[in-house]
Amino acid sequence: MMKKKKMSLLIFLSVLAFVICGCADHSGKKAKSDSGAEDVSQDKEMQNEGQDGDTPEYTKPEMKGELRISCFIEPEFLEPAAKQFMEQYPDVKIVINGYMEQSNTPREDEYQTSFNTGLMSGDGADIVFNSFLPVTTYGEMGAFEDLSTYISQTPEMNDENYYMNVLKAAQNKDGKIYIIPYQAFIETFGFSTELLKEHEDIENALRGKENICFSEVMDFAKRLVAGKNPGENVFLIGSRSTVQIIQDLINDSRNDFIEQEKKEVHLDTEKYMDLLNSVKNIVDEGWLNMDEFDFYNTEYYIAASPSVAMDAAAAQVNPQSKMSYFMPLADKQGNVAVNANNCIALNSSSEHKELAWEFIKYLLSDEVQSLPSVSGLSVNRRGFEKSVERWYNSHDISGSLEDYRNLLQGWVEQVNTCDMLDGPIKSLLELENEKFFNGQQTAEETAKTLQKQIEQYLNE
Amino acid sequence: MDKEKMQRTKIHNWNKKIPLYMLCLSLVGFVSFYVIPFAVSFYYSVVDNPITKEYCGMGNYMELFQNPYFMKGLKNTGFFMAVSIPINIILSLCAALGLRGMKQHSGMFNLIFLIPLAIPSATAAFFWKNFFGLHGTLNKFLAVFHVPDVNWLDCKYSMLVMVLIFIWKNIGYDMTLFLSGLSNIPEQYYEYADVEGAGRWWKFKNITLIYLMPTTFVVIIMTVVNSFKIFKEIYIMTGEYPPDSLYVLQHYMNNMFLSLNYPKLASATYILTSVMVLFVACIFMAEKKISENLIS
Repeated sequence: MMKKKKMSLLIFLSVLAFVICGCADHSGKKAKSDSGAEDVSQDKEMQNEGQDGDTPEYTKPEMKGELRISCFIEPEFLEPAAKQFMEQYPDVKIVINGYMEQSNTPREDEYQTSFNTGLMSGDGADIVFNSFLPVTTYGEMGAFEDLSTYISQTPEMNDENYYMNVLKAAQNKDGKIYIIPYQAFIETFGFSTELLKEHEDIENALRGKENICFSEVMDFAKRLVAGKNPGENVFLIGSRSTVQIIQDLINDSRNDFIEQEKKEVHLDTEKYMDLLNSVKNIVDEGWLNMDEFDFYNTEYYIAASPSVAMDAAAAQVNPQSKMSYFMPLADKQGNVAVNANNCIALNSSSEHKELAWEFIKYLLSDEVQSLPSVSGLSVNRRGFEKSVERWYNSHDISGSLEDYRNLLQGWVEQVNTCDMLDGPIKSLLELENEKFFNGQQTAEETAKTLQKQIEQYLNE
Repeated sequence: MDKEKMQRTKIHNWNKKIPLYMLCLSLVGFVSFYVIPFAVSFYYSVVDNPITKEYCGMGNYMELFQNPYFMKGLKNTGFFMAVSIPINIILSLCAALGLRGMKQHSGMFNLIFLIPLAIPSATAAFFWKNFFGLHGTLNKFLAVFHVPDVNWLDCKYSMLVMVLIFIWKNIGYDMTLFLSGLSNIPEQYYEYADVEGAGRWWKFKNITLIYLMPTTFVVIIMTVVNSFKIFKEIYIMTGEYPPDSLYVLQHYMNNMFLSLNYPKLASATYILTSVMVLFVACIFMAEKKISENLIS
């Protein structure tokens, strides 16, 4: 009986010790390293620091081992790039797992589930091509390596060779970089040349601008179509759904609605409801009603229209173009963002981090960046030159190559941030706003639902 | 003769071992895919981050009880179970008694009750969503009586809608278990009672209910287990972030998995499992006590 009591006491004390140890203050440790990525990066920095302590030395790893790459949709340039890399380094094997290509019914949530399982079981991919993963959350959890140290330890990664503003676009306020864009995908907006002829004041206002925010695009577009009949042959905005327009308007002043880093949401406000109703009014008035319009047999004007940078610049240098004054889309503060969907991340638990970094470097080199399959603007300066020249020569572009290149270069140099809003937040916005435009719920209900859902997502 | 006896003993011994071997196979699977992962996941519940794996003791558990979303899930799950389980058991018992008393078409009715079990969750969820949705069949029907539209999936009655769906789906399963329990009660007991002039209620209370007790415990356990599966329907109908009244524990766990927060996920799983184990243990203890009382 005594023995049993002693055993019980021993077990109780062990459990108590276990709990107390765990509940002890770890803030000191946490302050030192709030993510695994930082730990690893700091260790790496310590190891590689030179004698003088300030300039870290770069040591090329042994080019041997297997690299696994995970992506939802495999970028076209990835396979040829991997083949070329393996030819250069025969002891390196690169395995690409393109989920979309391997699954019969690819679903984003299933990809994320399989990606998470791999990550947690220690069997995750070394390199991740991000499509919609919540990068901020993964970064905070330490799943992605902080690449700022790697960039600083790579001497060739400098302003002379790269558009460093693009490579560092995703840098957070702590200086960490969890994703690197492999191409600068910049969205631009232009205006109808024909309609601008009737509004000299708008043309004057556009002339001096380097970039434009979406609410300005809307304002200018509304002024351009003022006095015309909606839906007849004049439209307000081209190639934009109502849900996308709302998203663009949120992006204009994101922090007024969603502060992801602070985990705060301000969607249950008059401001957001007014925004929803204003877009609904435009729809109701028929300014976006393009479904039944005969575009092939009728002359039409779209006041403002988006375009990818290469085409936009081609239109811009062409004096005969139907659309003009193309410029990058920015937020109200003039920040031009690249999309986080065209970015690469490095698994912080990877066994071949240095080798993976070598491959990432190769993907960012002019050799790969100048491949025709890299569809956006290259982040590598030499690659940029080559791809712009190739695009210029293969398309019937009026205006000189120099003007074309300078225009594009000016746009790329404006990039200073990355659109890091988590994919699930975008999906929630899309889903609920869609319900509003379908008449399933009021603006107030939409705002309240989104407030609750996004708040829950951020604070759960 | 001895040889024949020896062979018979050998066969007898082998026959005795076969169930053990078969159980072993199942046990290997159970241990490999449930017990070991469950034990390993305890490790995750005492670290603060799945990547850095810094030990934090019971910190995650304590944080969970301060987390409003976890508490909301716990409350809703508790409410759902407290309402749906007794109703489902009572209704399925009534259905079983009704079917047993039927002279004709009992097979057909049996089949009707079992059909929902064969319908995939996604199909069922699609149907119910269209039925209870804001622009669904129910509101269209109520509009005839000038009742304003109600979003049944996002109102204070939402959980009761889920209770209804749960009962629709599970009543057949419990009913089948009760039917098998009822078929084991000897008819003579009822005949003796009839001879003694016992009424229906007396027979139900003193014969049916008493002899159904072991089956009832199985039904309770199976209904509790099945009640957790309602998440599938809720998830399909309302997604990862449902209205407040439909947010159950599994939503919390699912969202923790997607955001890589394994420590919280593992802690929540351990809390849920502890509650379940405690509940099942209580059920077994109650069964044991009632059985002892019956024997004495």
